[in-house]
Amino acid sequence: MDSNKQAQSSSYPPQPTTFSITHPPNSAAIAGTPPVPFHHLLQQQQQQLQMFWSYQRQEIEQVNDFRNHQLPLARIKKIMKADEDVRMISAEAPILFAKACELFILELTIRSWLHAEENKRRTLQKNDIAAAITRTDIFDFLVDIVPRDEIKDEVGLGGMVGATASGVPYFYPPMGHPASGGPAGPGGMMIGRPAVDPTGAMYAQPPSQAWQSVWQTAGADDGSFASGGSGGERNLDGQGIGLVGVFVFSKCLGCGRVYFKDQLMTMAGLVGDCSLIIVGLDVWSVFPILLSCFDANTGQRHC
Amino acid sequence: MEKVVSEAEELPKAIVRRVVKEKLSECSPDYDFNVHKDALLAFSESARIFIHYLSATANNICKESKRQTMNAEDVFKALEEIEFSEFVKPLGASLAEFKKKNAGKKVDQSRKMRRKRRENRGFICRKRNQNQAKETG
Repeated sequence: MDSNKQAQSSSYPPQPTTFSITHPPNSAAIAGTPPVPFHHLLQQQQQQLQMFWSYQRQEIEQVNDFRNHQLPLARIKKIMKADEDVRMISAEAPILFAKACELFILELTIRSWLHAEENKRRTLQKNDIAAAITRTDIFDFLVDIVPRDEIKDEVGLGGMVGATASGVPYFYPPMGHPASGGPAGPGGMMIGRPAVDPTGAMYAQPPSQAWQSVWQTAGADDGSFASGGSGGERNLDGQGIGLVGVFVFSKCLGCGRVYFKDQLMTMAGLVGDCSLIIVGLDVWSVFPILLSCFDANTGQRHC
Repeated sequence: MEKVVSEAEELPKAIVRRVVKEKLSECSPDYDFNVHKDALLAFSESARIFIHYLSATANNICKESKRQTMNAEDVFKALEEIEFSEFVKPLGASLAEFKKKNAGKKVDQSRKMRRKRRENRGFICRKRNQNQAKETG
């Protein structure tokens, strides 16, 4: 035995044997003992690198902010002064206007983009902007700027983006009332389907493709759209300007039938011959969520 | 009631274009969105009208407060009135940031002005001495 060991130790260079003596308990032991300096350094460096790059990114973003905030104040002032009523402007005003302008353009862009997406285009066109203006209450002041005839009724409903989750209420732009005159009357131009026939096409199939759920895709825009929804609410009560006769409907979670909100007469939900089971209001507390519906006369459930 | 506004001033196209395109690439990061030329013009025009709209509203608020100069408070109130109240917070932040940035600038500027004035005084004094010297000499 001893001679073997000796033979072994003589054949191997001394260093590995010393290593093998300290190594055997392997990783567990190493973790327990003060960390090997090299590993530690490497970790530290990596952390530092990460921090460095995330800081750089932040800086770049900040610089971008300032660069974007570059609508020329003098130009803005001139535009403001074009209105003779406006006399003296404090120094802070143009700065506010510059930022407000930027935010406004962003809002308009998002909503126009939505329209372009609905029509499966990748180029933003003037009619997208016109559509965004018409759809949004607070953009009513622009209604004469981008002419209505720019709005083209495009691709059929079949190709709409994304089947939305059932039960999510759809905001349907004004139909009918083509004689409601005024520039604000967008009668049927939007997703201008005559399919506002509640009895006909509606019940046939879940129209999930028919209308784009505006809230779903609006993303960061939820705030404004919610107010758009409540704007719709206002109009339903016959008040408010702009959109006339907004139809809003809820889809039955059971069978997909749609019921127009104006037709939902009570919380119990009676629409003609149909009775609806309403489980509550949606997150915006505007539209009822329908669990199922059934025929009020026969008592037979549709779903 | 319609104010005729001069057609002279437009917002710089390049900046409008940048704002739009950046937002578009945010909205659809997967593919490139293009913007039609006419659409860009429509954006510019819309923004310009927005300025008028906001400006007129703020101006009315200012006049109602019996003041001559439109200030930041008027603008904030105007935003609420035209139902753009979600702009108020980011605008407030932006204004605060701008003030911070420029607080430093103002100090530098006033220092420069003081230095300039000192130098000018020195120059004038020297000139005066020279002239006096000429006269007496």
